Amino acid sequence: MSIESNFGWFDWAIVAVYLAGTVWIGVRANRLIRGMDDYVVAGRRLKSALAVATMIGSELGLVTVVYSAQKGFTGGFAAFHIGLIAGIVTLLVGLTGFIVVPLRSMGVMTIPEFYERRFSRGVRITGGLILSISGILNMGLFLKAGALFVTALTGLRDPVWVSVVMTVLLVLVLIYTVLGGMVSVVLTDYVQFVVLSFGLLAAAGLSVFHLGWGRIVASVTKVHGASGFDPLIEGSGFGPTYVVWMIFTAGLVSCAVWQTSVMRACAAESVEVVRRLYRWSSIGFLVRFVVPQFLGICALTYLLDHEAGRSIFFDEGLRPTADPTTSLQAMPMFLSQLLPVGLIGLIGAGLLAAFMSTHDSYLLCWSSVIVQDVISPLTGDRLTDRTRLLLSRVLIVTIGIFLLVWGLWYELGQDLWDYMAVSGAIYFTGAFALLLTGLYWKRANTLGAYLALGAGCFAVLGLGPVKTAVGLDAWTGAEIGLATTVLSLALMVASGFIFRREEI
Amino acid sequence: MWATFWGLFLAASLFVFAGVAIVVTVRGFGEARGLLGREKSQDSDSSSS
Repeated sequence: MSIESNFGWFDWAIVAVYLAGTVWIGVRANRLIRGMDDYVVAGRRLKSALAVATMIGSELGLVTVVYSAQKGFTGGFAAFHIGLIAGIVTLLVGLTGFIVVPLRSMGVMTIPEFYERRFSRGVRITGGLILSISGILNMGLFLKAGALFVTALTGLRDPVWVSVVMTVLLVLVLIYTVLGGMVSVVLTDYVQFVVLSFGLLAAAGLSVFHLGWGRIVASVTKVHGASGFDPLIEGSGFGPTYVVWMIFTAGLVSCAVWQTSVMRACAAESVEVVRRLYRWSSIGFLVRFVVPQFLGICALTYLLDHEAGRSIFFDEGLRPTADPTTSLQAMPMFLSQLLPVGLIGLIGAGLLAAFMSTHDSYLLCWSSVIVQDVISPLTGDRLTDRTRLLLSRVLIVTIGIFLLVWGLWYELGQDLWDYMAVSGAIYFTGAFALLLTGLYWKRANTLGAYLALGAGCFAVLGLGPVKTAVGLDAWTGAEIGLATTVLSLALMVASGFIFRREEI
Repeated sequence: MWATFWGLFLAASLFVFAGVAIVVTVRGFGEARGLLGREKSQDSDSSSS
């Protein structure tokens, strides 16, 4: 049994024109690149509005939309706590300047660069390696999520065509990221911010108009009961531990520790722009979770009353399907039914462009980290600017090829958001300990930094297949992540108390 | 009670975000033109030298 999509040739034409325009802007930006500073942080010339647009445009990617919608579909309104937490924590970072302002004041381009200034060159190389591996794994399923989205939205059924579309998108991203660096990323992010912001607002409004608020609430109550509204109830699939994990990951880490966000702070014109950027972006960090989650809830409402939809997306007890690959497709399937021809093309183009904008930011980020923080220090900083640019571009293409292979091979054994939180945790649990103590505690030392980074790698145990392989199924990814964070901090603090800095 | 809370939260979020989106769109356009404007000045600099 299948569900037909409203997506037609006119929508494909909108997508084609939109994507061609985006690539043209990106390629044009190539003329602005004069050196590594231009390539990685746009010459540090970003002003407030453009900085906000690129921050939200980059973080509000297709993958965010897809995994957040999945959380709304499987968790109901209780999933809103993730966006609420993200918004409040980002606002607090903007008001206090916690972590990001000292980093911008130091003028570093990447977090491992801070490691070297505060600890040692070895910590920088180790941290850079862990960060890039974690980051590349983190984006490892972006292509797969994008492919599932395209299938569900457009009604494409042949998996070969889906692979072709995704490969073409990836090639387009590679072209303009390789050529234009951060300047092209900023400009294309701006266009994507505009289309996506208004597109998602329109989709949310249309969904309420079409389904009605009372029907949406009734459906969530019918499927999830009280746990569809209260995230602290254990049966909600969340619970107190998960909420604490979200305060750390969706809140603090995603805005102040995750390298792609910190890059925006580093690219800002001044410290004052950094504070303003975070204050303004707080609503974007909130909405990037809440609106897609709401669309996921609307998908649940629509598909519950749709005969074919009910058989695909729900089990016999009317519980949402336990298969994460299927639940990922609920929201795009719903949009393909709800939106009229033209609007579906525009929103589809915006989301595909967002897919590209996340890819370009992440590809640029991880390739820059490998060049600046691993290869360059290992070669004694003898690389010229020209060689660094060339290496960054080669790495971008190499990572792109890896993503194609990994996306096809890895079996998603958990919700996509949880996969991303856990794979990112390999880096950020250790990085958080280094940033927090390195910036705010004089006794933090190099040995503690190595121990904290090493301990952070234990977060890999939270990945679905790894958990099963080592017999840790009784632990949730959130519990493993929190335990790793505490361990990293404890080792750093213990080292600080036991050894003085000059003894290391 | 929870449904009302989340409903008001959603409505307020959408309203504020719509305002932010309008402001960022308008101001961001000017800043993007400024960034691209540097390209012209760089081109003219290189041709004069």
